[in-house]
Amino acid sequence: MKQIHLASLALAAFAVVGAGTVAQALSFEAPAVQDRRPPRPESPDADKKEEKVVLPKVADGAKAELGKLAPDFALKDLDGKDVGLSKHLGKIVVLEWLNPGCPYCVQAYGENGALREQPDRVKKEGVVWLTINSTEPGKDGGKVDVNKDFAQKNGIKSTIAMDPDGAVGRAYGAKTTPHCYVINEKGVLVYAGALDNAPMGKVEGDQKKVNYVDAAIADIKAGRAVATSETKPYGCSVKYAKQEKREEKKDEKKGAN
Amino acid sequence: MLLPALCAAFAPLVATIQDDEEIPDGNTLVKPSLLADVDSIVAGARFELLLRFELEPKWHVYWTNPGDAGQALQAKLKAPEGFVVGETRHPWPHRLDQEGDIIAYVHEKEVVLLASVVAPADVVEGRDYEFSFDARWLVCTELCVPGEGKATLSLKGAKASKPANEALLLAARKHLPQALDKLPLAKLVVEGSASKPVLQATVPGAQELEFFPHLDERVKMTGRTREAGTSGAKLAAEFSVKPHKPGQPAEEPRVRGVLWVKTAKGEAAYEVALPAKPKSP
Repeated sequence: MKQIHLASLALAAFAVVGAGTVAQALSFEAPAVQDRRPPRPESPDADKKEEKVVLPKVADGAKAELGKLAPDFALKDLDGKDVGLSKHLGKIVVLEWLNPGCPYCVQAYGENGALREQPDRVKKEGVVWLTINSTEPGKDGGKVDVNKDFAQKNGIKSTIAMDPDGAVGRAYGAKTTPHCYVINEKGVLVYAGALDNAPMGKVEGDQKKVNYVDAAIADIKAGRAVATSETKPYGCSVKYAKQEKREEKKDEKKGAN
Repeated sequence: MLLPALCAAFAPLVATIQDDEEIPDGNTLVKPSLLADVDSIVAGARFELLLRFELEPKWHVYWTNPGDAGQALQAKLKAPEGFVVGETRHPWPHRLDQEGDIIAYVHEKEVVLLASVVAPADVVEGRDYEFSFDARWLVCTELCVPGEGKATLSLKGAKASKPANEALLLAARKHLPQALDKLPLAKLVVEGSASKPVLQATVPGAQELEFFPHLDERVKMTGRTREAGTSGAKLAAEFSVKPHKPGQPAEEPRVRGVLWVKTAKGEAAYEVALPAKPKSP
């Protein structure tokens, strides 16, 4: 164990130095300009009937809340391409939080894991699946290369968006990997919680396996209200980068005491 | 010429770091063992089994309510036929605040769970009785790894028994939450509304308070504030109560958890289970 810790420290120090560069490469001064318009209706009549939905933005401090419009974001995928939410208005969108270093994600994307087939399957049904990684770049699983390797190894075809400063994860209140969210065609957040009731692929006792994301999608498609709109997410905690402002506040509090 | 020589010189070091960076084995980061507070089994006698988990430094496992992330430490105890095994009791955890407002309830260093056992009347002297448990855990530091393990204990039937593992038992008992009536000076009331009740706890003489909520499908702690002064400490824990759904138990929702109290004399914890509905004025 000592060896592991020493080596980890050495690598962590190395990673912290390198993290700045990676974060710099991934961060953005201003959100990339994206088409936030809903899909253009085909007829002028339809144009009159449909109200233009404008999603609130994470950059403006919007927080995700069940039953409300989901906050839009501007992230980059593993190849540096823009990833946002508003351009998918009109489609069901699943957000799934990932950390390739988390055993729950490794299991879910591994052989017989729920995520091995689910994103591709629902994509064929017109659902958009966005995987988001809010891990600090210096930490396990937060590096672009590690994510690329993970995607290749597990045949992940869906978009993996990097959220190095954790702003999107914090805005959605993502606590675990894999924490999942389902947004309906109108941009409303209708599900937040666990992927299923089977952490590490195992259900407790003699329960029947339920995939909550699939269930939410089925409810939306059937025009029903999502029956299970919130569950307790399971998994590893999201390994967020430290927030400078928060640290300052803590220091102020300490000083006041 | 110099570069290849340098590479060759550092090659063993690089290899070590790479090897050591492999994900640690979750099965060996936690060492489970099974002990008893007696050295042998007497017919009809009650004794305690101690389910001990020793953790590698800086790693933690999770309480019965892991909090926002993680997975509870699970142990399934097996006893020979005829032995009556009581509920496994867990010590209070400590709260771990992580970035992103992630709150976890964890155990570090060592966890000892206790289970009371009553031996049957037909215990045979000299016969071996085997007890065991299978356990699963998620053990975390900067990274998390799942693990599992098993521990066994063999005790002989006898006419009389001697105490064993007394210091460990004493320490384990000290860390178990007690009944709330053992804290007579405390004042606990539920205020707020039926959907957002607030547990107000005031403990004279306390230096610090904490509240560890139990897992509950309907009643969830959403936050807590704490105050400490010269006369005592206060805690206000806010909860949200989900509406009752068909199929759920029809019991009245309760604010349930463990109130941890630190005084000049030491620390202790108390089980709390109060109706989540505020009393009308």
